[in-house]
Amino acid sequence: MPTKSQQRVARYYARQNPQRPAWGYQYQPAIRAVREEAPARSRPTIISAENRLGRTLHLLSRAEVGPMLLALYAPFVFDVHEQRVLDPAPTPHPLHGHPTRGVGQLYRSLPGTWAVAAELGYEKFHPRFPFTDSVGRRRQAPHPLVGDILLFVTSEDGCSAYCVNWNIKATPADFTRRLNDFTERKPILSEQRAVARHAIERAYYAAAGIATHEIAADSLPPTLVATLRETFAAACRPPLPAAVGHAIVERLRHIVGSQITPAQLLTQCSAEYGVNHEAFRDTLLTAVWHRELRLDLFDRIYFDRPLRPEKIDVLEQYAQWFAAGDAA
Amino acid sequence: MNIGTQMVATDGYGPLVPERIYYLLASQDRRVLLVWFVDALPAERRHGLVARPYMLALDRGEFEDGLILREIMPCSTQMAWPRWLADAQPIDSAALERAAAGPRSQAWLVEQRLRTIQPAVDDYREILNARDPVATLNQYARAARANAMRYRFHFLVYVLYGCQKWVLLPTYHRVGHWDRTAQGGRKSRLGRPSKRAAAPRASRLSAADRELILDTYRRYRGLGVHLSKIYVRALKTDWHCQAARRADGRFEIYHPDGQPFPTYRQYEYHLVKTFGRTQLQIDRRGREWVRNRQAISAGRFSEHVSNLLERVETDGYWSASHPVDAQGNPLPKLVTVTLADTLSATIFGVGFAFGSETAAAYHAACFSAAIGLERTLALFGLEAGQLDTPSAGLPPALITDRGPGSGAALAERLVFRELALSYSGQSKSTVESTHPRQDGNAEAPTFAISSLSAVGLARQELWRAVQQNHTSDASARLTPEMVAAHVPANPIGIWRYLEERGRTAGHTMRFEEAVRTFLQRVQFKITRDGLKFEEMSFAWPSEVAAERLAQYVAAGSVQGYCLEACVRHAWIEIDGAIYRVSARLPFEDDTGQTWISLTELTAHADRLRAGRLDQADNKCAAELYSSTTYTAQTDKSLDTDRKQRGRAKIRRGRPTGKRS
Repeated sequence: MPTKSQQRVARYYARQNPQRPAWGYQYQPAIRAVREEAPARSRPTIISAENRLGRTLHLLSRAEVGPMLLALYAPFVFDVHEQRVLDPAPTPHPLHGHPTRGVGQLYRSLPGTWAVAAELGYEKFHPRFPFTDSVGRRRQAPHPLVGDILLFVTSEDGCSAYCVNWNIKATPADFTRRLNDFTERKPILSEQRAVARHAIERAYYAAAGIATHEIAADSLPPTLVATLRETFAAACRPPLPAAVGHAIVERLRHIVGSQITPAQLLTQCSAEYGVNHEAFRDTLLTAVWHRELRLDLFDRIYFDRPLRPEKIDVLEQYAQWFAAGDAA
Repeated sequence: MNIGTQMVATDGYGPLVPERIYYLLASQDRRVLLVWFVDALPAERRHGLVARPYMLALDRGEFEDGLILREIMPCSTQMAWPRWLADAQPIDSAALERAAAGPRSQAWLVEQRLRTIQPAVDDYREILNARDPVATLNQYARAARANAMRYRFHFLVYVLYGCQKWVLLPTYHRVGHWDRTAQGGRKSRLGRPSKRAAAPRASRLSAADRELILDTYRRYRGLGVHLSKIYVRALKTDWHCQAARRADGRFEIYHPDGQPFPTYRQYEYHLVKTFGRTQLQIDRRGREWVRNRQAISAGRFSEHVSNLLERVETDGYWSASHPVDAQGNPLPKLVTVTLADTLSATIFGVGFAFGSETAAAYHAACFSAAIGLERTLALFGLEAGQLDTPSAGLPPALITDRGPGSGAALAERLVFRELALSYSGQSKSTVESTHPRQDGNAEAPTFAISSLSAVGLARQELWRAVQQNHTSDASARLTPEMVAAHVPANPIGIWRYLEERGRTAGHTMRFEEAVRTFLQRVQFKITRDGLKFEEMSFAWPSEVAAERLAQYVAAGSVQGYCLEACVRHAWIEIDGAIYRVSARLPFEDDTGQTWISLTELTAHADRLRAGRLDQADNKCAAELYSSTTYTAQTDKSLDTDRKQRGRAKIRRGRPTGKRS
């Protein structure tokens, strides 16, 4: 009868087989956002990203939603792997064997978290799970860690690709604190564990040339996250026919920065194109999501107020999170 | 070299001690006057003396030699304020002047001191030129009826720091900054002694004691463990205390070696100071309890919402009493789930189910939201009339409960699906257990029965929701623009205002899609007599030609959908289109009988089938009986026909009378 930890590890490897890497719609996260698997105190979210990535995304906390939306918003991100297993044994680079991107590139392989932990001197902090080997002895094997989000980015030249690892917590202090208990009996030990875990992950990916960025979710303003949510949800709806959609977006482009509100434009457009409020609004938000219409995303898009043009490009503002490490 | 220049002799020079700061007071023909300050004793500090000044006269030649030889040098950094006022920087003299309200304000004290030493300051040249400046100053002090040392101190500080009056500021900024943890022991206990004679003999906690308190707490805390238990355990195990019985029957704690130990109040106070009361309660009661009772609201959810239907709050509750069916038998309790918009607090969807089927109720609520509250009312036989209802629309994101109830069909519609925290009553208001509080009595358990049927209770809740949209006070959600536009301060008012302006994030769903996604699937039987569901017949929809009925009879059944709470109106799917069908009775009778829920309908079907089986038994028995009785009365049995081959020859024509 396998123990819970054995079942869990089996589940991880069933979903992410190192021999059969999967990208796009075939990728499965190691931990799904269902009550049986998600941590007890979490608020898991499932995002249907069929249009963008071809599958649903499973996020384990509210903190991850904002950064994930930002990743989906960036057009140069062609795949996102959330809850990706960090294998204790050496494995090839995540992009190794990808059918369409980075085909000619040379990638360093991932060394395995166990080797990294040994090198850093953190062996005793690497999680383990017990098992009984063929002889019948009780032994311990390293338990795979699970990363937050791994991005797959096309570089500026359009041909090569690289990966970026994101480590997400709700507030910056959480990186050195285990969960929210500061009154622990041995706070120093749990801090050490947390530090070790993050250090192992960072060194693991760095050995393959993948940079790790630590992202505090509250560095994304809540209005930006709400706007991204709204526009993403609209982009997932079935669109209007292309000609009508383009015409409407053109008209919207003209009123950006003027005093005319989308509500006023709707009264003109509904007679001309026969669209109702819902389709019009969705067209507006979809255009914003696809970056056809550049509005200020740091404030909400109000249907009955004039549209504000973009002052700061969100992707430039957070460009450092998408930056590659040293050459892959 | 000015007056007040701070000098130091790094290796000492003549009478000058190394590493001491000397202030140059006066440079005269034959001598140079130097002053230095030594920190005052605690007893002196209590009377306002911060430092004792000492004066030294150095021969002028010696002094100048020292300067040339660089044995005496000005300090590299000259302090602009005395070192005991360094912590009080920056001194906001304007604020101090403004705050000069009470009788002993700081500004007043400074003025007072200055006034006292003013005669000496006016004659300061004569004083310094005197043979013994200190003695001369003392005379002035005696004349001013002031303490000599203090007078000298104030005078010298004033003069040496450039005659700014604020250097005379009393060091009140240092009040209370002494290290309380340094001392411990019985003697140094602070505060008024206890009035109770029998109070435990306590002592000041030392730093080690404080650490031990925190450590014992961390070790012994747990859910449900009261602080007094933790305290007693700590005293027993870590402080090695014991208890003794007093003469009056009470007990007291003591340490066998006479070592000090904390009292309960000290223990508690130190924990509250370090961890905070909230943390103590979390440890004892659990995070959820504290969150529900004590936590200050983390702000309105609506603050980050800008459109209607952007965020939705669900609320669920059971009816207080059991509904009854037509015979008066109790049915399972009705569970109601309402969907309310966060921004305006409008309830825009209401769904029902029975017993513990909360997921079904949630789906029914989504259906109600998708078709609009007005159509929902119509399905239950109500009319909103003059009461406005919110328009139809589904939110883009829904918080679902865990488990298989959040079905796949629903998932396809939603882009964001958030699972609520388990056992969290706050993050998604799941169905709260509203079991009526029972005054614990020794009687047998009772349950409340309503006089209403299931549909009746459902109608009540539905109407309550409609009403609440108009009666609830939403004034806290009005922006200044809305107030200026005279928007009514109720949820439906805000809804109408924002909807007119296109500020909704809702999506409409076609009626057919809503039926297919959210309603319960059932099978309708088709027979020659028409449509039947659970032995209740439904009128064939008039839009569909009657010939189609004949085609479907061959199939035997057709897919349909119904609302669990009220099956008077149901829907069937024919060739991919949805048609509404209504229940009908076999003959004209009170239509109230058709307003029943699915549970009641299933019970009705069971009874009817049982009745049919009874009738089948009855048929044979009745036939036998009737056959026997007939034979008894007529000496013939029923059905005595014989069958002959061929055709019957029937004579036609009038009877001739020949035969018979």
